[in-house]
Amino acid sequence: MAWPTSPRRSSLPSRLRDGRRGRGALRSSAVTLSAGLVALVAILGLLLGTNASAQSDERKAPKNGVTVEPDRVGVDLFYGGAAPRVHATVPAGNQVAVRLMGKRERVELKTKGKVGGVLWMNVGEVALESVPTAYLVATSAPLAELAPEAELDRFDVGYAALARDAGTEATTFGQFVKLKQREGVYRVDEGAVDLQPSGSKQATLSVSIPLPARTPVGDYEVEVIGFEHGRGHEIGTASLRLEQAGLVRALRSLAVNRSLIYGFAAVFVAIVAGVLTGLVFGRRAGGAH
Amino acid sequence: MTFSIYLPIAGNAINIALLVGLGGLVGLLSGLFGVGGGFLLTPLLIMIGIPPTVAAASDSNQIVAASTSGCIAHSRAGNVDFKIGTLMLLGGVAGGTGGVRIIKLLRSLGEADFVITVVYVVMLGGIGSYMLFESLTAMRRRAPEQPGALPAKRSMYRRLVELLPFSMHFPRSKITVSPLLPFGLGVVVGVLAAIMGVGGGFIMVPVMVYLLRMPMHVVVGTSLFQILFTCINVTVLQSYMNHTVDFVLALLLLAGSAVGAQVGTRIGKRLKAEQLKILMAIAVLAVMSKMLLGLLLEPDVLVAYGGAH
Repeated sequence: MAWPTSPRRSSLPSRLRDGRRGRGALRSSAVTLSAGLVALVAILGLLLGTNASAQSDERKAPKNGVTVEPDRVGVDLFYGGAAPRVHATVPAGNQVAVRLMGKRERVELKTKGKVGGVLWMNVGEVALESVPTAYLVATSAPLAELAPEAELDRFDVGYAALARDAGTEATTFGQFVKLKQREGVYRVDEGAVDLQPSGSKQATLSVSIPLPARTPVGDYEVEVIGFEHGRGHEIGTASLRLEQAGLVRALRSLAVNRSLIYGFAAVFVAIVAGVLTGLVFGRRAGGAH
Repeated sequence: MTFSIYLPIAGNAINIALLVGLGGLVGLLSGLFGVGGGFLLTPLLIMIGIPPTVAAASDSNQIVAASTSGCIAHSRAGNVDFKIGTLMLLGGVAGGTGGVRIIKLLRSLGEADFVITVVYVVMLGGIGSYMLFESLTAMRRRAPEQPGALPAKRSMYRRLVELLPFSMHFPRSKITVSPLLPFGLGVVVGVLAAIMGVGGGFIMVPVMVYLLRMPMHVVVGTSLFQILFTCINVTVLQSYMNHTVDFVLALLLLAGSAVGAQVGTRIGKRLKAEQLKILMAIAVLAVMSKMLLGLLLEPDVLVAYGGAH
């Protein structure tokens, strides 16, 4: 099971390994060499260690150069959201957009409007044909500087790109985005990605994408898109799975698969709790009278 | 305390202390006035990030605990009229079933939601103002301490009621009426509750006070007794048909509300019937104002989830 802090945790084993290697080196050299040499070896060991961990990171990265850490997040009773970190290597001089998107679905909405000139009420229903369950984007520059709108649309970057598939008029879609932004599952962070030059031809990025606790469980696609002179190209993709675990999974499966038992159990527990409170307070009241 | 817990059905993490506190507040109102408190808790839950359908369903699960707890406290004090309660409950079930059909018919006719909401606001406003006015004058007159018993005016209503057959005595409420009356009123409340989409405590209590002339304290206890059964029904149906009851959410809320209901009952016992009626009237008017404000102010977001009925 992974936790919000697991990027740190997943790098822990390699650090432990380095530590052990450092200590091993320290022990052998302590027998033969003076204290000064020991320190030197230890420092060397540490240096070798960092080197090794950098290498192992590189080995872990798949061909397309995009990884997400952790790529599985368990949602259990004490889950309070996650912040998976996306790593990628991009050609130098590119601007980038990192996009985390859930599966697309049809959403039905009630629209509110003024009735009789005074009262705000539900006045109608609209359906958005195909909108993602979550849409979290981080870019290295303002959207307008990445590429022209048509090019951004091609890569589903920006709300305007989503509006195209929603199949509804702009005002309703704007209100829908506002609703999703309130929930924290739609967000576009312009300029949140820092590109670090690595050599003359490449740059690396590492950005954390905060997922609020209410992000629906399911599979998410993370895509990194590079933009050069206003033209986009796919750098690579990775996937992230948010899944129920432990008690959350058990309760949810009971609620869905054994719904009648679940309903009666819920009522039973509520009655028992009510009776117990009644008895506890009743006894206390009896003592006071 | 910032300790939060993930609610499996609601699909969101919420602060534990906040949930227990909200439960406590609603339980207090429930023990004091004999109402379920759904009118207050459901919108609050939606505000802190619970999906509306889950909020409404889990709320009814929580009310089961609060009303059990309150019912025990009230019955110990002799404040539950099981006979009348059962009659009204049967009427309520019949009325509720009919009400669901009526609402479908109304919705198909067009602007039904508008008419219903306006009727509801006007009705709550009317009942609240009447209760407030009536209790204040009664207190000013320093009427003899006869809880709820008004000077028997032989009104048109009274004469009609006396014409009903099978007169029966209800010792707990100290009234003698035909069992058809509580049953019939139960039907009316059931229809209204189904149409308004709320539990009906705020309609039930004034009906028992003014149309059945039951003593105020017995009204509160008897109302809780009925709410208990209504909410058991709703919880099981919602779990079975819609999978919208979040047990973890309900558990945290009921931890607060079961205790709150006891405290509410305790406070209620110290109050005189007229004082209790004034507080109730204020609560009814507050609910009305809240609804009215919700209708008059432009909402922040002009869309909400859920389309097809």
